[in-house]
Amino acid sequence: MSAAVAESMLLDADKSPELANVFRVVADAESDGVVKFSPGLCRELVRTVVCRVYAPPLMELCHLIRAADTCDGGYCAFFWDSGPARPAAFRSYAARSQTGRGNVNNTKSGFELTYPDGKFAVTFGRMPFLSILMEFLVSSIGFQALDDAASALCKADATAKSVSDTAKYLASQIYAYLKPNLTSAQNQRKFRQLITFLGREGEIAPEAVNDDLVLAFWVANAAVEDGGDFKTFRSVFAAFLRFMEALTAARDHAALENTRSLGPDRISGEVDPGDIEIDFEPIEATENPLERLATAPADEVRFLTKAEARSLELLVDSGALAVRLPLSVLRSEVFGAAQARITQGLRRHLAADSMAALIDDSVSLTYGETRERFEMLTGHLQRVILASFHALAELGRPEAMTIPLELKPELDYRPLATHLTAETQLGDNVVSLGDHGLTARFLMVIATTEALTGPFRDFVEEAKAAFDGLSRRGFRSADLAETEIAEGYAAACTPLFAIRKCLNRFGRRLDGTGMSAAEWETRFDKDRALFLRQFHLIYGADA
Amino acid sequence: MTTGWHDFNPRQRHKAEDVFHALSMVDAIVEGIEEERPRRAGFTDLYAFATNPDREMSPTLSLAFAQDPSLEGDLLRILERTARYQFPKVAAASSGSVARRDGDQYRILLRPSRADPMQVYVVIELGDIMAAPPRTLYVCRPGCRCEKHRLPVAHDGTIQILADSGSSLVEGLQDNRAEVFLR
Repeated sequence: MSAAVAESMLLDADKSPELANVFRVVADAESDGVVKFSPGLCRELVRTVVCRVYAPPLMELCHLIRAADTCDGGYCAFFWDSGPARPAAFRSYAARSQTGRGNVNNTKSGFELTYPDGKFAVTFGRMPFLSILMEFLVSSIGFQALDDAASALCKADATAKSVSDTAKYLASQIYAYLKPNLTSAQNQRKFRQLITFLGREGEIAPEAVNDDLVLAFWVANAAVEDGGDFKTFRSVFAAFLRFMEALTAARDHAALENTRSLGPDRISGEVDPGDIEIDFEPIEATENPLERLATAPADEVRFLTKAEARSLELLVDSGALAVRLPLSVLRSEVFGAAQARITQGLRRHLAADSMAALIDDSVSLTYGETRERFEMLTGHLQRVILASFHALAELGRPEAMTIPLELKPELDYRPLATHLTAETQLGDNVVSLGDHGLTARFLMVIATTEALTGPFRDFVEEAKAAFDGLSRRGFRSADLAETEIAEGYAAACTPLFAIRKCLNRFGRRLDGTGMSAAEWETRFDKDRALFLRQFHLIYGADA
Repeated sequence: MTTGWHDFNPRQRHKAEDVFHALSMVDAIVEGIEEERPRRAGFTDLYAFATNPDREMSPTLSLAFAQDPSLEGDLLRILERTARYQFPKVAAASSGSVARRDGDQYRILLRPSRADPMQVYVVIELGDIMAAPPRTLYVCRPGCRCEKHRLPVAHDGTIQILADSGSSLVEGLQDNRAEVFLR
């Protein structure tokens, strides 16, 4: 392929359809010159809309619109005059502007709405996502349609049922908008190509996909003039991941069909199948823990830098499938990055000899170095989770209890039992625990380290040292006084565990290959030669 | 024994294709929104333009108006929701030209300048001088983009602007089809 053709394909890839444009506009929204929605929120929105799981959040949004309209300035000012979409901004706006009209209470955690036929609560933590969903609505179905719906929601005599009906109406509007925008001949062609390729190789099943097959597919299709969107190794790897997920989902589909409720449970936001024709079914897409960390309130604490998060993206996105395709993960990390550099060179219109030199120098990491990077990230995750334990314990948050069990399940916790009785003397303080639950007792015990002994005491001290050793936002003692930071720590536990699990699982898988360092080096040299040959074929002078 | 594509019924095959398509689309869209590119204006910019007196029509918002005609309707709706006052439609005069607009608390008068016949005084009389005066005037004519005019400070309940008789402000206010908002 010539450079000119390659460039034109790059430009074609930039031409986005209507739906992609809408998401770009939403992602570009600014409030007083500051980005309004975090990247994590944007990704969550895309997944919610494209996988058609928007009915439950639409229900929440409708209740929020009603509550927001009781603020001075109405619902519009609440969504578009309250600054960047963060829980603290909505909390502060509500404190300034909420009037208490219309049976809406502004509580510590959010709005509580009382209807003649039910109650509903929307938390401040949820509002950033509902705000970006609102932005998507006005950018897709338009403000006029949304405002008509809002007028119905804000009527004095609105009921839980009428709010539910409006949510369903908005769901049908999104459905109508998506119908022509959620089809792609390109994806259909990609799917067919994968089916055909696997069919030639043997069985078409998730278990049939392996590292050799992924590489063989890329070699066969990357340099083909009309080979679809398979030029980069990363795109091929991603396509196989999605293909495996899709086949697994289809396999599980029959079982799910018999058990899944399609009933009109309006509170949970399910769409009554009688109301709109469903030929798009919701798709269960796994929540990405990196996205969760990048979204409020977890993003109040800098658990990961941007560079660290980027280094983890591919592995985390691969999820459990990474252990099935370990070499493909490494190839994507090492040669995917090299190919990205070459693509940048293509955009700079480099001359043929410069392009050839760029290709030859494009690989900057070996497999061994990539493994070391993952090991460093594993260590960092360990420290961050330990530090979170210290923070959560200081804050008296029950989530602290989950951390020692996650990090040190093998620890002997029996000595703690003596401190968890109803009347306990801790150090110089006589503490009457009275009716406090086990969690409260546990937190009080941790707070008084002199009462602790043995490995658990070491754990608590290690956690404090980890906290003191980090100099990032959220890891200073003074930071813990902020409500948002406390919420951030609490919200981050589950995603941090999930990322750690990804890293540990992948590390064990690589160790399990039993390959020595020298064997990894040989593997890398072989792959490097193959990839460079292929890069020259795709982008070089002979292309 | 594993089950694969050949064992799937048509509904499962459709499901597999559907899931593949959705997940691939999520990947492509996320990649698209995260790449470096010129910023695009959207509803947030439109809302700020409509409600913030200091916000001018930016080139990106102007481009968005050109690309999406429905934004004009959205702007009108925002103004209807947030304006301090919306003047009622004016009945067509025999000449088709409007010289005054009367509302509950506000009145707009167009008075030719005696000193220069090519100039017109736009006078906005405020009925309630205790209330905060409007800071912005919007004139929205069918088929044209809404125009935003920043207002000078009020003196003794009156805001006065001297404008060319052929200016878009004067022509817009004279147009009986135009909708006028004070904010």
